[in-house]
Amino acid sequence: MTEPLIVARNLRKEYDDLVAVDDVSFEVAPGGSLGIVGESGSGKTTVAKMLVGLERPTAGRIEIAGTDCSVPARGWRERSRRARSLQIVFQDPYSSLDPRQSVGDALREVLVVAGLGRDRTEARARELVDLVGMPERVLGSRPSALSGGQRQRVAIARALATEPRCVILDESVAALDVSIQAQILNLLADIRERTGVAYILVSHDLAVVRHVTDDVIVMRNGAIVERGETGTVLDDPQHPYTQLLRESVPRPGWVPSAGATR
Amino acid sequence: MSLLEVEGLTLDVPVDSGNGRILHGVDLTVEAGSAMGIVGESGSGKSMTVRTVAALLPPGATTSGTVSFEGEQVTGMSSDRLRRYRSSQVAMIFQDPRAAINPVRKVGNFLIENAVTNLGWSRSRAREKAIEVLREVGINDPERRLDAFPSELSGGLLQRVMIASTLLYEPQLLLADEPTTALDVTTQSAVMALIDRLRRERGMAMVFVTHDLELAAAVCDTILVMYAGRIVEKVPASELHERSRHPYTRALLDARPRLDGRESRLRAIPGQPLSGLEDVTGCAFAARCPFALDICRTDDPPVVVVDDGEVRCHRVHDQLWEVS
Amino acid sequence: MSVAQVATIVRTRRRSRLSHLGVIGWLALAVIVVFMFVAAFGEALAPYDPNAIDIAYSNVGPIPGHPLGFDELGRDLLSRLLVGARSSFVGPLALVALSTVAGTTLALIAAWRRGWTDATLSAGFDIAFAFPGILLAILLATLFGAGMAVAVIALTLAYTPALGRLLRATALRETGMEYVKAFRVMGYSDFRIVVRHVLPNLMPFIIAQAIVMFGYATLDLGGLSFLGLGVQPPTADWGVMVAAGAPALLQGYPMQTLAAGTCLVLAAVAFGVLGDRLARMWGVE
Repeated sequence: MTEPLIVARNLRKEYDDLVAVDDVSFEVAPGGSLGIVGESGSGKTTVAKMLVGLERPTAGRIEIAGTDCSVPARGWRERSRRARSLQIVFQDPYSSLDPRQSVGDALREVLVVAGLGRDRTEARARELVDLVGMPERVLGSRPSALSGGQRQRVAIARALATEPRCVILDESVAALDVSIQAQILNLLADIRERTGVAYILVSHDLAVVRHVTDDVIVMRNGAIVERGETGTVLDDPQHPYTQLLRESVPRPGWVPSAGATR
Repeated sequence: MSLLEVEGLTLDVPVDSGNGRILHGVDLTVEAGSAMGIVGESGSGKSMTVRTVAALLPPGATTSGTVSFEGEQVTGMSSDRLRRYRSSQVAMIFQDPRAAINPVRKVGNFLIENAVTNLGWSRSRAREKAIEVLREVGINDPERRLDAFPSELSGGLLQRVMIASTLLYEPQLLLADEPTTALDVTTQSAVMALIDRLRRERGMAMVFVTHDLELAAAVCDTILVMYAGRIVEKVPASELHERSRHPYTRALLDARPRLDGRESRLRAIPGQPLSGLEDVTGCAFAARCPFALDICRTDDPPVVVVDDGEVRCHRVHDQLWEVS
Repeated sequence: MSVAQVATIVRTRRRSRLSHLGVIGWLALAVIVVFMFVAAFGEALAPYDPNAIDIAYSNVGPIPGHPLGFDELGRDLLSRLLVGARSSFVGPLALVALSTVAGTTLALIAAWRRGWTDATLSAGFDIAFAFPGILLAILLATLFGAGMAVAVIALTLAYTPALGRLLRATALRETGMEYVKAFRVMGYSDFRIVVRHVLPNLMPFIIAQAIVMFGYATLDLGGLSFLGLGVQPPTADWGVMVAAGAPALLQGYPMQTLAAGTCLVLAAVAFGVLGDRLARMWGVE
């Protein structure tokens, strides 16, 4: 087996008295796809934030491409090195872009910061909008002129600009209309095929997780309750909580039930 | 006479360039005790339709057509009558219960005040009844919850409080606008089970607005599918999967990833959802429809009654799908 | 589409459209433009030398050629009013510029660093805010002598925390936006994120605040000059003129105080209204 791209070991995060993440470990292979499933308060988003350095783990270890990334980067060089291995796409397509910056400027800025020569940024920016299935003329558009789905495409293009080896999708399709969500999910599949990028999908939506990921961990109250190959876990969930999650998804013939949790 | 009859409803809201129409002739009928789901994407006008029924419109909005409740025109109601209508005949629950409850006043205050001012109950009777309905929506130790502030309750619990508030006066019609969209799936299931049970027990009618077709199908008798401010299909919920005929309805059903297996590609709908504000000639869905003919781009499709449903599509008889 | 969404559409389409200033907003803008023009070209516009004394005309009312009449020393009032516009605006301009730069910088530092930096700065804002600016000015004037510079510095110390407090709240909201987090993950430096992204997005709010503040500044500095702590006579200045006209007022010659006072109040109100309208137009509160 190849060296894992991302390794998280015994991650823990405490806020005052609250344990948000408790002893979470997982690995992502290069080009792999891991789902982190859970509801609000499960700690799934905190895990994502620790991976990208927006939160500092209370304990535990994060390795990305063989380098220790357990604490947020200090210094510009380290930051930009990490930016080239791991990126994130957030949930809200409306607040994740600077409203004053055109799509082209946003992409060019990332490229310049990443150290690409100014002469090559233009071509690369065009490549990126093409990669996310948008016409070149959007380079001149402000976010306010774009729909939610288009903004999310821009956010994906921006995340891919530094050619990261892994992208975290933090509920990235949750706010989109059904018809747009399908477009973005297809796009994500195409991109993975073309670039070999790995995904970590943080989501509450089991159907989306099934579509995007190979492996899954199910989190509840900060801890992992079940893990395995995505198809196996969703078809034959072992933990009662996973079973409850599975049973709560509306589908043909489904009847809502009071369930066991409150 | 039906409980609620909406006919030829249009809604215009002020936009920069004058007025924009976001509902283009909506017709719907809700019988007493029945449940209707309105499904669509953003801009479809589903929320605005129920808000019009509740006479809750943005400032400057104008309507034409009729909305009648038990035969009485809602649009013609005086403000006094309207208050009685909203406080005793219809109830509305919203996506975000936090936006609908005053955050600096206690939960009990919210429940009791309403009953005292709008229904003329005594405080002690209102309190007693409030405890009773809180218990009914599955809230433990309701006496303590009455003294809690909204911020101390989770979203799911607060939505239960909203539901409880509607039970205080036993309305004939419940208008639910994406009541579970902000909730976790397990909480959604529990809240929907609650709404469904209470509604059936009391013979309350419901108009349920959601973007989730499966959720609507699970708790409603009839499904209306809206697109760009128009109703494109009406189908009995039990026949949604087997007998819906509008290309948009079918496309929505197909676009969701499946939970029980993995397809290599999703059948995405090209383009993006149209809002009612956009100018359209012909069928509003034509631009995204794989089956569109020339006539679809020029002529507004008529409503065709098929089996137990209604479809607004030129190609409704063309056997685009196998319909059992 | 929900009401909120419709409202958002309506609001975004209205943004930065000057036609939405409204009649009052336009009127305020017109007043300001006229005052600014006068401040720039007052000396050229003045029909007479504003400092030419002629005791014979002391407190003489309007006569042909002198539409506002004369002050206690027989100087032409209209000329003094026109020339005085400059010093009545230069002070507030310096004051607003200084306190906006200082307030914005402190607010951005507090919002970006958060934690104890924010706590310390916020506490500082609160304490300084509670201390009246005029009192501070009187204190500084007794220490360093009266004059425009001292008055401006004293009021800057009073205005900065007020603006800092307001801006901090807005800056906190802006730095919490997901695009800021995305930029951090992209490896952008703190300086780049704050100066090139957060600050420009706060500009509409800052400008609106600065304009409102300008109104207060004209009044406060005018007041200090009235008290003899700001601009010193014989320089023509509206605040000084209000004060200088006071003795004559008691003798039944109200023209100087009335004319200069009206200009001060009009300027203050116009800036207040315009700032408010701009804030509403840009969707900031």
